[in-house]
Amino acid sequence: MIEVRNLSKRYGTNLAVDNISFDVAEGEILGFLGPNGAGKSTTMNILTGYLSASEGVCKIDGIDILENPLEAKKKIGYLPEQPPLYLDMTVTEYLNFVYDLKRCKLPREKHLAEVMRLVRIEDHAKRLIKNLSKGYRQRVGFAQALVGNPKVLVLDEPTVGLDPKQIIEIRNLIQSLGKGRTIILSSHILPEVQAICEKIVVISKGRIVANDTPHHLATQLANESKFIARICGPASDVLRAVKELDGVLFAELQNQMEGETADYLIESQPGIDVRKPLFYLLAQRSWPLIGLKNYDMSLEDIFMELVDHSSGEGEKA
Amino acid sequence: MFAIFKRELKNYFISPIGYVLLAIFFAFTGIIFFINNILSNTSEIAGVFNAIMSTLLMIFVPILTMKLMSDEKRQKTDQLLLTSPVSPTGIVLGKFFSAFAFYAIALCITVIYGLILSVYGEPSFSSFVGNFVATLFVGGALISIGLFLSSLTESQMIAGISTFAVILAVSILGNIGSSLTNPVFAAIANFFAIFQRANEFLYGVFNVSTIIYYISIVAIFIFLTVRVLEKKRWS
Repeated sequence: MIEVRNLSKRYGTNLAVDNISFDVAEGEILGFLGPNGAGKSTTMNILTGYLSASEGVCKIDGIDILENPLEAKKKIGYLPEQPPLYLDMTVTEYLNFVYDLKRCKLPREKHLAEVMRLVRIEDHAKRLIKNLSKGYRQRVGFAQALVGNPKVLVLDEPTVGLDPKQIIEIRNLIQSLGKGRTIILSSHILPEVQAICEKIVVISKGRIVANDTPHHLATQLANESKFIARICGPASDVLRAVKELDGVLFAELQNQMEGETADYLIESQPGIDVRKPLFYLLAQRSWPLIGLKNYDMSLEDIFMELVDHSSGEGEKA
Repeated sequence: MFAIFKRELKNYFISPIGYVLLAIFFAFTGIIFFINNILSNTSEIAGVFNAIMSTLLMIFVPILTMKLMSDEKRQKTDQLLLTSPVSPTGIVLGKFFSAFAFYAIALCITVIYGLILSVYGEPSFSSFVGNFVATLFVGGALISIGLFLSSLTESQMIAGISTFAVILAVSILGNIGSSLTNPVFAAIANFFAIFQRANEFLYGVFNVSTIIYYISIVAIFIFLTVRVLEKKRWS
């Protein structure tokens, strides 16, 4: 549905988006994740035709946004980071204007009522937008994107600045809209993307550092060779002995508990299982092994690792 | 394009600015009409149009156009316009025609003055039409300049003041054009003589080349405004 190939955007000498490519299949919800200033909004602005790419191709439903912008734009509903609202209009007036602007063919009254019902602003239809709270303005912005029933929705940080209850409502809304629509959603909040999206693209400093499902991303990076062992024994001796064990790459004391019991994070070389040798070593030294568990990386850790990794590479380059 | 035209025209009447502008326009032309025609017992209406062109437009046009493009940028609503299936030319044309239509509505008050005169005297019909069309064209050209200047900034104030300054400069330039001896400077000054070009109309002479001149001025500034919108995408 959405095809992005080798997209780059230069602002003067500053490279905001650096050769990114990704696809979004029909009906998929893609999460666009990255720290602030990573190039998320720029990419979304290019996708929707607000900005033009310096290089690369971007196709919506097979239509190039640069070559045939009017046709491509008909298929997109866009909610920018700051909802583009005319504050001196009422909600109904505004949505009617958007309806005209998008040259919508659906039955006007019915369609606008449906859109307002979806984002739950029917009760505020006659109010001036400038008198609405931030959460309601966001919803009006959302309604604007939904006018014309576009196949593709591009949402730039749709939950920023909302209170927790509103965030959950907007999330549920996105999920319900996801049925039958292709959605791209940007965010710098991980749990949000994890909760809603079927696919995640992680972007940092204008480059894609990961592109996968949340589950895959977690398992792929969750290092199988990392585990946490709870051992009862003198900390410094234990640590020294463990480090000397064949195949152990790295070991550190994680947290000290009562007595001599402590958790140790141990990383082995890939392909070598050090758990058995570790057990025998500890048995030999009479340091009881109380617990052993795999070290699960949260998406947060993965994100940090990816971003750190990419910025490290960037500095080297 | 029509959606934008409709919204902008309606917008003049949502905020007080449209009413204030109409009030200024009607009061100003009314006073001039009263002094020029009623008090002096003449059916020659050119004075009213002359006053509109030489004084009123200098204030009227900047207020009319200052918000057109600059406010979209400031409120970031240009993101909605530029990502909807409307071409930048459509956006700019919609904006131009809304301001132009508002101006035309205001100018129609002069028809009433014409009718009043025709009750008590026999005003020249061709002179009235000539004056009306000339004032309409001059206003259109100035509106297109104001629209362009409004697209260059996010501040209504800067847009308004610069439009005022440019109209002032154009009016001065047209006046000194005839006294310049250097042919190049004279040609430039004459090209920008937006006000003076209308003189022919005032005598009821309809010259096609003058009409084309005004349409060209409007087309140039609409084109430049579209370029400003497009440039933003590429920078």
